[in-house]
Amino acid sequence: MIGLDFLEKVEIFQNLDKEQLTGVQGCCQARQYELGARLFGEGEYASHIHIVKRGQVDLRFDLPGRPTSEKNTISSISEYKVFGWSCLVPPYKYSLSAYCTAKTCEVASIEKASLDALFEKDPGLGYRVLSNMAIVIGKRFKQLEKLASGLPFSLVKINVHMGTCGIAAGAREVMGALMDEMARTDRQDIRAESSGCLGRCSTEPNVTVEIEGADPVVYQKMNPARMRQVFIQHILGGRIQTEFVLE
Amino acid sequence: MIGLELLREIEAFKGLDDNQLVAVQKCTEKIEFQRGDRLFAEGADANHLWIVLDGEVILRYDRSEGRPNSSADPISFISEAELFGWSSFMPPYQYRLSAYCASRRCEVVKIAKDRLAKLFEKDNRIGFVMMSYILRVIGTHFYQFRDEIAKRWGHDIMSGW
Repeated sequence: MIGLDFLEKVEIFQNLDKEQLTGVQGCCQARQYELGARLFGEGEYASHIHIVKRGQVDLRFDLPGRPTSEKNTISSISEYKVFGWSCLVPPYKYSLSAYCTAKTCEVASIEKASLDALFEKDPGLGYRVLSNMAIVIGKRFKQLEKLASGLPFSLVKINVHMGTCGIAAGAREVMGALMDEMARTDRQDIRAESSGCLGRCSTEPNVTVEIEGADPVVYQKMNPARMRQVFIQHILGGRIQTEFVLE
Repeated sequence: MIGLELLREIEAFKGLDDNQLVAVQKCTEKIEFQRGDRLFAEGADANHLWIVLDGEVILRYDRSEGRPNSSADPISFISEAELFGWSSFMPPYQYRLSAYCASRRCEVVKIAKDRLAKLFEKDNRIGFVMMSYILRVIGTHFYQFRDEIAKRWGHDIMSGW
């Protein structure tokens, strides 16, 4: 059973009277998780809103084919804080995955259907909880803005087309050469990306260079030596290597 | 003040009865702007919610230092029936972006936040219906912003392999 003394300290239940808090309490389920456990996954139906009672939960984005990592954490949720509020906002799908990052986590979970019924029965409760939620999102907006201001933004994007045809033609080696060259420079505004086939299989490996303010340039029949030349001459030196450009 | 028929058509007020709409109506004001006019400035106190009735409004940063977008880059286009100025319901209660009229002319509803908040307290049903809608709008923008960061961050991680 989740206690009223806990609920009254929860950020989204501020300014509720005892009767309203008791109503919320009746919908709460106490759950426990161990370190590393996934509470829910990105894209799943947001069936519950959750509050951390003890421990810490990290909200992370998942990268395809890669294990979860703290590097992917967008925010860490501590005691009395709410997460999983996607259940209040269409399309009611969790937008990040949640992982327990303490030895054990205790979480209070409220089912969306119970919460909706509670709001319908007592619009005053609904109004206060949603107003508090807007305040919580406002604070998280600020945190995100702070986070975003510390992230470099790219002025240069180098896209190695790594479809099956590209890989067969040597795109992996081209990417390897690009990574080597990027490691030699301290430029933070250059980003390497990979994508699928460009639709010009006969000219693979293809590489697209996008420099802010200029038209994209597609290079064809690339190999590690050509990639190094393009990186040094075009990306760093500003001289398009016309002999490799795809017409 | 704007007409009741018009208010009934606006998504943010769906679910309110005529008596409640009349109460909301008293908080509204209809204003027209010409292309290039500024509706509000980034960083100013967010005292109003806005809804576009006709035309188009763009939201953008006026101050571009340290941001990926130049000051001229629009962040969002707001079309008919869309609500904006929701910073009026979130701390620090200041507009995050500036709003400009982007069409030859635009017509907007301006709703005084203070009066609306008093109305919400007086009639919690209005508060619940409207906050549900406002939260939906805020949530959608929050997700878009967070997705953009996750995308940039994900690219950085992918670039590190």
